Amino acid sequence: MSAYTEEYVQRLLAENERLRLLVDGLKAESEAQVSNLASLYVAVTSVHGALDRPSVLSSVQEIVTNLIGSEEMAIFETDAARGRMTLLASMGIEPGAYQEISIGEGAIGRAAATGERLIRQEGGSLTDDADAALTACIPLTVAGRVVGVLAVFRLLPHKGRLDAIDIDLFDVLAAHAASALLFTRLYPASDGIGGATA
Amino acid sequence: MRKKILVADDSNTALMMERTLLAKSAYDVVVARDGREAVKQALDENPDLIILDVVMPCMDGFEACRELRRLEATRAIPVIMVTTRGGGDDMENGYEVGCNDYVTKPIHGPELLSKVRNLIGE
Repeated sequence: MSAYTEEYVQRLLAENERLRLLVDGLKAESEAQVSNLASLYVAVTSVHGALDRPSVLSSVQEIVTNLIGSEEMAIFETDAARGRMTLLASMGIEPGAYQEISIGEGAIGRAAATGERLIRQEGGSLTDDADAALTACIPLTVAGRVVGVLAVFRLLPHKGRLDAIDIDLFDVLAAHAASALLFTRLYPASDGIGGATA
Repeated sequence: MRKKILVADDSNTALMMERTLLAKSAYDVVVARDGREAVKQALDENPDLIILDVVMPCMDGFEACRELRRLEATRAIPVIMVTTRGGGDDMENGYEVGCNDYVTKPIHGPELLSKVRNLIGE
C-alpha cells in the first residue's frame, strides 16, 4: 500500500499551487519595481545627456511622452526680476496663449510662485478651458529656487490617471531638468567640459 | 542561447527604456533609429523579435512592418508595434500590415515583457 494517501497528495498539490501563485506574484511585483526603477534611471540619464538647451528640452518632452504618457506640454523659464515666465518649448498645445505668463497667474504661475507642484489626479479633462485641461504643473527647482515650470496638459486617451511612478518621475524632472536647464545657460559662458574638468 | 530583439524608435528615451528592460530580462538588444534602418538591421542581425515604433522618420513603423513582411528573410519574425494611440487606426493599421501585437506608450515594462515572452519565450 502506498505511503501517500490521496488526501496527502491533494494537500501537496494545493500547497504547490499556493507557492506557485506566491512566486508568480513576487515575480510580477519585482518586474514592476524593475520597470519603475528603469523609468527613473532613464529619466535622470536622459536629461543630463545633453549640453545644449534644445536637447535638454527635447529629452524632457520625450520623458513626458514615453514614460508618463502625454503629448501636450509646455516648459517655461522664470525671470524673477520681471516676475514673468517665458515659454521655452511646447508640444500639442496652441503656444500663442502661453508665450508669457506672470508668476502667480493661473495654475502654472502659481506653481512658479509657490514652488509647490499641482497635480490633478483624475487627469484627462477635455474641457477647452486651459487651466482645466492641465494635469500637472511641476516647478523646476535648483537649491529651492524655481527656475522654470513644466506644465502637462491632457494625458494620452488610454492613460486614465497618473500613477505613483508618474509622481516619482515628476519629482525627478523637478530637480534634474532644472539643473540640466540651468547648466545649458551656464555652459556657453564656461570654458566647456575640458576647461571644467581640467 | 540568449534571444535577440531589434528595437526601432527615434526617441532616445524610449530606446533607452526598452533596451534597459529587455537587457535586464536577459535578451540581447540591437537598435535602429528609423524604419529604413530597422529593415536593414533585421536583414543583417536576423533577430528573434522586432519592436517597432509607429512614428519614425524616413520610414514609419507601418511601412517598415509591411516591408519586413514582404521580404522572405524577415517574413516570419514576430513584430510588436509601439504606439501612443490606445486603439483605433494605429491598431488596425498595425494588424493590417502584419504586426503580431502592439503596446501603447507610456512604456509599461511588465506589459512589454509579457508580450515579448508570449511571442518568443524567456
